[in-house]
Amino acid sequence: MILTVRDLEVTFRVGPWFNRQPILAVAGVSFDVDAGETFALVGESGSGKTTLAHAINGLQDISRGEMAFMSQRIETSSPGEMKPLRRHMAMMFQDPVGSLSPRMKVGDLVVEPFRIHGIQANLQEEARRLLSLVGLSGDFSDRYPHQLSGGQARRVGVARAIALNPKLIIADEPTAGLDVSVQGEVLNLLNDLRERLGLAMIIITHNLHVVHHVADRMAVMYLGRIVEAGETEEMFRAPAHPYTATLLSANPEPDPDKARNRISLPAEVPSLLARPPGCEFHTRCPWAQARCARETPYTENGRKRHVACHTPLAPGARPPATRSIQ
Amino acid sequence: MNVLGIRNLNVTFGTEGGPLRALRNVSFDVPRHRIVGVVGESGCGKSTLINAILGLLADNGQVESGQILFEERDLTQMDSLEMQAMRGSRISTVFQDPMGALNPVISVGKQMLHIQYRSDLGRTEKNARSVEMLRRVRIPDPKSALSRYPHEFSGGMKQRIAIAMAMMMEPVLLIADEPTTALDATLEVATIELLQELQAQIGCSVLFISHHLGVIAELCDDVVVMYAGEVVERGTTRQIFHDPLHPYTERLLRCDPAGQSTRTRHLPTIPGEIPDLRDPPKGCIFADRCDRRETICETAPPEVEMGGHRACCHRVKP
Ligand SMILES: Nc1ncnc2c1ncn2[C@@H]1O[C@H](COP(=O)(O)OP(=O)(O)O)[C@@H](O)[C@H]1O
Ligand SMILES: Nc1ncnc2c1ncn2[C@@H]1O[C@H](COP(=O)(O)OP(=O)(O)O)[C@@H](O)[C@H]1O
Ligand code: SF4
Ligand SMILES: [Mg+2]
Ligand SMILES: [Mg+2]
Repeated sequence: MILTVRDLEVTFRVGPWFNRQPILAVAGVSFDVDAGETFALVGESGSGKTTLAHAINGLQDISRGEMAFMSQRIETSSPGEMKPLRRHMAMMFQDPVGSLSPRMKVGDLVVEPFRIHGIQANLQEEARRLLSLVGLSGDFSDRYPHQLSGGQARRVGVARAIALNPKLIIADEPTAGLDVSVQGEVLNLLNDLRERLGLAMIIITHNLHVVHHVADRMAVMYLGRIVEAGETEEMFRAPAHPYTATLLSANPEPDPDKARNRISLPAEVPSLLARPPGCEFHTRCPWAQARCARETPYTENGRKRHVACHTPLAPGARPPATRSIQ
Repeated sequence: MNVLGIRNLNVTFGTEGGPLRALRNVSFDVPRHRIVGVVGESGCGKSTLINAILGLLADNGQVESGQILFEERDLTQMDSLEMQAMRGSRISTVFQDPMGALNPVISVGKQMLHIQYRSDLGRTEKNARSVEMLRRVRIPDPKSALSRYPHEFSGGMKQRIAIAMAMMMEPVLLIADEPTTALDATLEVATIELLQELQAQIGCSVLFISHHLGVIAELCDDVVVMYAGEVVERGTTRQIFHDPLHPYTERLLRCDPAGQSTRTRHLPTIPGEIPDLRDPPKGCIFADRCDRRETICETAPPEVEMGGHRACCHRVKP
């Protein structure tokens, strides 16, 4: 186990100064990541994926919970104690160009982690090595971020992430906005490096097709909680939580004659300021019953498959014609 | 009968490095009552095409030659006032960012009244129409929605309000440029279903632009595949997805991880890059990335047609 996260909570305060209200952006999340494995966090925008990644990376204060990275507790360690560990955990940010300083050249950007961590190295040589690892020629050293295409900017992000030989990379939406042919290049690159360097990876995405191909295990988030987690293939074959089943069915495929069997969701995502009682998905769940509006479904945490639902679905289950509660 | 006919359209942008030929000999039709998808990767000219149709090209852009026939009239010959009237009534648009269509400081109800300025109905009837339209795009509590402002709605709802406003004018042609790209998958499919339903009710034609193959496959009747400013293939959606002729289309479909049901750790890609449109190659535009290239590909390929399915490639045999 390289990373363990237990009951993690992150609270934000939102609203005008005279009426600040707390929201739980991450609401009690637990999961593990093994050395060398790829773990996917999926969920729609606002479900708390980025906040969770920032919390693990120490970029975001947490309000509760425990995290351990390479057997050392993160949340109770002092910055000084964390510093040597930090270099083993690298982050690829959601906005690839925006997260690169616009006035720095690519050659300096890829070796910035050495400077940040005060690690001595022949920086010119390192820059050349890193660029070639991510498939960019040496000419790119002199370019500025705005002179890069989307795919090239991602490669620079990957080069920075692997600069210090980390054990874990957290990649937040690494292919968002890329064309499919370029998306494949970036994913293949990450996968290659994972194998060659023995990295573990947390990949955050809302693209389920991508998850299917790259992740060993996955967790589905809804309103800041994990509602289902398990082996990727298992979850694709037989989603057990109604929300997972819905997400999988809402995945347009490039085949006009494909039978769609779509599960459609009524109503919009509830606000974090007004979390529904009982199962928080009950306001939209086609399978919801009276009990769901009252009782919170029990969840097991840890490595095994778990489903936060009173009545997990059988493989291939179709929603009832009408909801049994309103 | 075609609502829109694009004929040999050439559009050029003036740039520091010389003229950039963003669209070259683009031709296709949007028949009445059909949904036509334009698909292609970034930089292939999708937005330029739409801007040319709407008469909204950037100052450095120019239609060099060709025709844009809308209901038999050539839009490239219209002055800006005529174009503006056309945009307000016969052609409506939906873009990726719904806030382009919504005024943040005016209530939704007022904005929906404004777009009905041409109608002879009274205010009460107009408001009733607005409520009906909001109900059709499934905005909860549509009556009270009229008095609310755009920021009070979620991103998905804002896009549905923008669609409601575009459809209110009962256009002959709806142009949608990546309208679902910023939405999550569940909202994306809900929006596609909504567009399909409204199109059938109103009976308009739709020109739908997207780089998302799955969305195109699901929504469209016909598909136009663009690469680096050219139409490389067009046909019915089934022809394009089940029986692609052009090597680019074939490779593009293979790249989509959604198309592979068996799990693979190594995804197909299309090595290489789009050519510089300031100096496009003389022959086939896809040649330097094509794995079926031969010497003849250094000359311009012919358009081959089979039962309405067309592709521009030397290797496609009729
Ligand atoms: N700095 C912040 N202040 C207040 N709320 C925030 C902040 N960052 C994120 N949020 C809120 O937390 C929730 C989760 O956001 P985020 O982690 O970005 O989700 P995701 O990455 O899954 O789209 C959202 O409701 C978002 O609006
Ligand atoms: N105003 C402009 N000036 C110069 N080049 C432009 C301008 N607008 C678009 N282009 C170029 O035209 C080509 C097509 O762009 P665009 O229509 O935006 O493609 P798409 O919408 O398919 O991504 C690109 O090479 C782009 O860089
Ligand atoms: S617990 Fe009930 S409401 Fe929640 S997902 Fe399961 S069936 Fe639906
Ligand atoms: Mg995010
Ligand atoms: Mg565009």
